[in-house]
Amino acid sequence: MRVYAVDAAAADLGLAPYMTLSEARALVPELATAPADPPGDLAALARLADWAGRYTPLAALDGTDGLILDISGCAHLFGGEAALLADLRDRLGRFGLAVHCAAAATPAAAWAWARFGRGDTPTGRAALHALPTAALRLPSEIVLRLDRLGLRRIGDLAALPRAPLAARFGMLPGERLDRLHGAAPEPITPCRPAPPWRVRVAFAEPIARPDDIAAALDHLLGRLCGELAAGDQGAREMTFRVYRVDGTMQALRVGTARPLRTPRLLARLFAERLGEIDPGFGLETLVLEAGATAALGPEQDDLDARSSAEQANRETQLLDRLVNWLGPDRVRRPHPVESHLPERAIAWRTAAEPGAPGHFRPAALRPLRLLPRPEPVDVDQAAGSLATLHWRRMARTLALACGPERIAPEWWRAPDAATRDYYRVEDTGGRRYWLYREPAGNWFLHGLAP
Amino acid sequence: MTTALASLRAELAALEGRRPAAAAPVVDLGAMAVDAVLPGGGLRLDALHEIAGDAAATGFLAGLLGRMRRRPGLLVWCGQRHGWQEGGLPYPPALARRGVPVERLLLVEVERPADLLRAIEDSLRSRAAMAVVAEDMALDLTASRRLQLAAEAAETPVFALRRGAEARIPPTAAATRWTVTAQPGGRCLARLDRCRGAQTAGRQWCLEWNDATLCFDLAAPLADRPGAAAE
Repeated sequence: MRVYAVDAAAADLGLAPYMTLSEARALVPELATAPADPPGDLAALARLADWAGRYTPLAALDGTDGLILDISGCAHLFGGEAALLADLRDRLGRFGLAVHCAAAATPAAAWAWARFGRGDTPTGRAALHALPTAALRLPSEIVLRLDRLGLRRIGDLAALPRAPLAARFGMLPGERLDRLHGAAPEPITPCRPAPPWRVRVAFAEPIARPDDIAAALDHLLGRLCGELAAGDQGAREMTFRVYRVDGTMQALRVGTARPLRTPRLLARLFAERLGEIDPGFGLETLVLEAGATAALGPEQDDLDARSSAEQANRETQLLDRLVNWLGPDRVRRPHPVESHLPERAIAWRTAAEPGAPGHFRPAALRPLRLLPRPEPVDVDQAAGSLATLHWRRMARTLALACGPERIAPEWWRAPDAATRDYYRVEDTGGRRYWLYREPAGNWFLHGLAP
Repeated sequence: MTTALASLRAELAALEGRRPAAAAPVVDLGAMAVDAVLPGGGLRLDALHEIAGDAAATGFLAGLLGRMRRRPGLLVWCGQRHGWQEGGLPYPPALARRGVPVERLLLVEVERPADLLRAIEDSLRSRAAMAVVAEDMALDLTASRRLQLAAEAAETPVFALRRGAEARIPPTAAATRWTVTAQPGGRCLARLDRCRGAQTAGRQWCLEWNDATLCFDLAAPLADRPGAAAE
């Protein structure tokens, strides 16, 4: 049984890791021990990485005892890098953890300074070069060989020409030096991929009541949907992360079949799951992310909010199925168009595009059925009124006629189109027709009304 | 005797798995004389209904759809292109006047008559429709039985519109079957050819749509005109 880790007091008394337990007990008879739990430690480190999401979404595990956070672009939210580090150290201290923190321009420099440097940030390249070669994360046998050659500091190594160095020790020292100086890239692998859309809100006083959480979620949804709208995107997947004061994080994820951007509908999707959140002693930060997004054109808001999210989903699925089977041209919805011409007043657009139709003004004196193309007919007149209609080789005696309703063509669109005088006529059997006459004297049948 | 008959009927309905007419949701016409005759007080909202006739049938159907506009879901209107070129597309502004929720109207065009059945069944199964309208579908007994069962399972009404009234009525499994013809003065003559669960074959009423109250009224016979000869 070997010692896995020692605390500061034990280290002062001369204990160190990898000592056998009997040796340690011999040195310090009243030693207090506890069984090591490396998987548990790793899990706790992962939870800490989740918690570190309150600072930045890019948090990566570094070995078994460290974290690397990419705080580019996040420091200003906390009042600068120094303030961020102070806050981090302060909170981790409250969790009971003793930490070394450092911030630097590259991950390698930050790693080196955190473990071997003094202070928050290296003051310059010279400060980095003063660190021992072990700060380059080289394997211990390379460090030993370099030491034997008298190369004890990073600066000694950096001064050497690369070729002989590579010939003796391989590519590794050169690579590590490049990474330290930022000449070679070193991307970190965050625990979670950074979402392209992310909004956060932090509270001075932690909140715990469900109403407050729901209100904060509504506020975040409003902001995120505003940003999505500005980018003409809709969210297919959203994650709501809450950070508790005791350092844990909970996440709720919802997914939609269709890209959504309406805060009301998204709030409903979250509402049924908000009960899963256990605030504990309070939530200090809330973050809302949109993971997967898709292009979504601008759409008009729907005033009639009766359909629930499940009904909307069912309708979307039916639309998808019909459009996939028949093609987008065969599944259409009517859209009102500002036009007097009856055939232009309704545009049948494919239902595959999202966007609710606008408001329809119910029109009096319009037929229930409109022929897609007006059919030429013959009308006999007798004694100044319309007497007989000849349509589709049948003569129908007209009993009543009402009109005319003059609809002028849209001169800006078709300057040569003819003015139409519409008449509503009814034959002796009660059937009604909607006819129009052009100035040249041609009659057309345009619609059928009961 | 009548109570024994009623209880026997209820038992048979339960064995067949049919919901008794009294419990099913219905859409009524707003005209008391007609509603009193229909089982349940109106047209059942989980059944197949056939409506034959010309443009007057569209008006009758539009009135019914307007009266059930509170049901959530899409209004799926299926048909074929040649039917629409001959008889005209439904025109939303006029439909909206009857109360039809045209902002939820979905026009589905199929190529073959066989596809009509499939489109209707898809719409029913998705439970996203408030009603399904099919135009010019040739319905034999098997097809109508299939649709009736699908409508019952989905609790959504299916309306089969047919152009042209037929003299001979082929057998069908639809819950009700109407023939609607136009009458002078903007009225329609609605004849109930067949109604499952009631002995009302052949009864007809002269109905008029009331724009103000959005319901059908029984039209008073016109005083100053002789009865128009039906063509």
